[in-house]
Amino acid sequence: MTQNNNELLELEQLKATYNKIDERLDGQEIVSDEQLRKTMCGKFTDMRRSLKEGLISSNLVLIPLLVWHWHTTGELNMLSLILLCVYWVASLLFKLFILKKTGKENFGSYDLKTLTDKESHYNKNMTRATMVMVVFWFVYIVQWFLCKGKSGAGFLLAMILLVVMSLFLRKVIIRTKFNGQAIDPETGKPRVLSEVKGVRYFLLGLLGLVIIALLAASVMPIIQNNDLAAYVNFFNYLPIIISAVAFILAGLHFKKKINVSAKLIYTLIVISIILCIGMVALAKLTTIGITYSSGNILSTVCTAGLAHSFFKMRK
Amino acid sequence: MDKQELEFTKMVREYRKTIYTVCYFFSDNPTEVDDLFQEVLISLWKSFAKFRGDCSPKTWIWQVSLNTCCNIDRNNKRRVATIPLAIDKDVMNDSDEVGQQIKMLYNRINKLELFDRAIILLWLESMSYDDIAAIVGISTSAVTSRLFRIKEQLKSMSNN
Repeated sequence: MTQNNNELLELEQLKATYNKIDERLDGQEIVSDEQLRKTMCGKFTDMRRSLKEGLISSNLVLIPLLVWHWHTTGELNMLSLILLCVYWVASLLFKLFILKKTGKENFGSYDLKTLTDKESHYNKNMTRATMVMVVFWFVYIVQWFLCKGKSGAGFLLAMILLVVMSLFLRKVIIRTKFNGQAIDPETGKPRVLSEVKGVRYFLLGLLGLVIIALLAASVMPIIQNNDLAAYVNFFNYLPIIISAVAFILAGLHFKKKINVSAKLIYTLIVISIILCIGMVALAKLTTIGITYSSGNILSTVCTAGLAHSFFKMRK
Repeated sequence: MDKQELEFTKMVREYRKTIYTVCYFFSDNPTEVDDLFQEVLISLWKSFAKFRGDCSPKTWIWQVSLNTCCNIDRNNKRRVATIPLAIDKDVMNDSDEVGQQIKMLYNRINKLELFDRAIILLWLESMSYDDIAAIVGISTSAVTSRLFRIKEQLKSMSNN
């Protein structure tokens, strides 16, 4: 009984302490009008930074790499090339236009209302551009798969089936496990499949299998034939393995499961990119059997890019 | 400054302590308070035009502040550069007895899950269970059971 009373007293003390915060903050200005305005200006700085990052990663790295990859593999027909060029030019012009326009504006001199109006105006344009981008890539990928012939169409069909199946599975799980509530009332966010333990283990198992298959594909030839060609084959896989490790570490870091230093992530990314370039040089200059292709570079760069994005997302 | 901006500024000034307190308890370090405060201000301003007075301004301020702080932490979104607040940085220091008590309260609340932090803050604010339920978006019975569990957690922290 006495212990119970003591505990109740302690909770009341917590409440009293909380009320003292109010007294402490009395007379503190905390926020000024000027600060409100500066806050909105900060949003524009952030938007400009995102645009610059998009310009470098998409227009200067990803699209040229895609063109090179599809050109070397012969998968880029004239229609794809025209589409890609139009998209590249349009997105480049759009980003440059917004950067130039926002660079000229003196946001600090506007009042809060004008600033918010301008922010929503730019945000609307950015959303429209994103929608165009999504539609473009969808159309592009569909026609790319179709122009690859029957196997490409089959692969596309398999992908669509996979998406439909996962959506169906989500619906079934929500209905049976969460009584039809698609939104988590505690977080206000849509439920995801990985919330369910079984599905989570299945996805982790699938990821594990892919990693094992990747490692086996690179290591097995060495075990079977202990010759130069086998070792060379291992080096073909090395850059993607390193960038995949960086990606997994960055993912765990983002989910706050572990703390990874920026030094480690960027070292892994840089090593995988350097190895990529090295492999290309070796493939071009030597005849020792390195078959490093544009596809390997594309997948390594994309994985490294994803690792970088995930790492940056956690503050 | 137009009428809407004037009204908004007045409201923020009136409830600045509430906003600051929420940000304080949702932050992991002192610099993050400034950061969160900034995000809450933006969220408040964006939804200010839609605020029709269906609930009291205090409830609305709590709702937007808690939602912003919970979502920012959950998504770990990249935030804009921090603009320091016009507040004495030593206001929450633990040099005296009251400061130490506040620090102890902060440490305990900081160990709770984000959603539980929101509920206990509203309880400390002496809000009714119905109001807490309306702000966080769960049923009153869920608030009762959750609060019971949170209080047990807080008690066990003090025993440890």
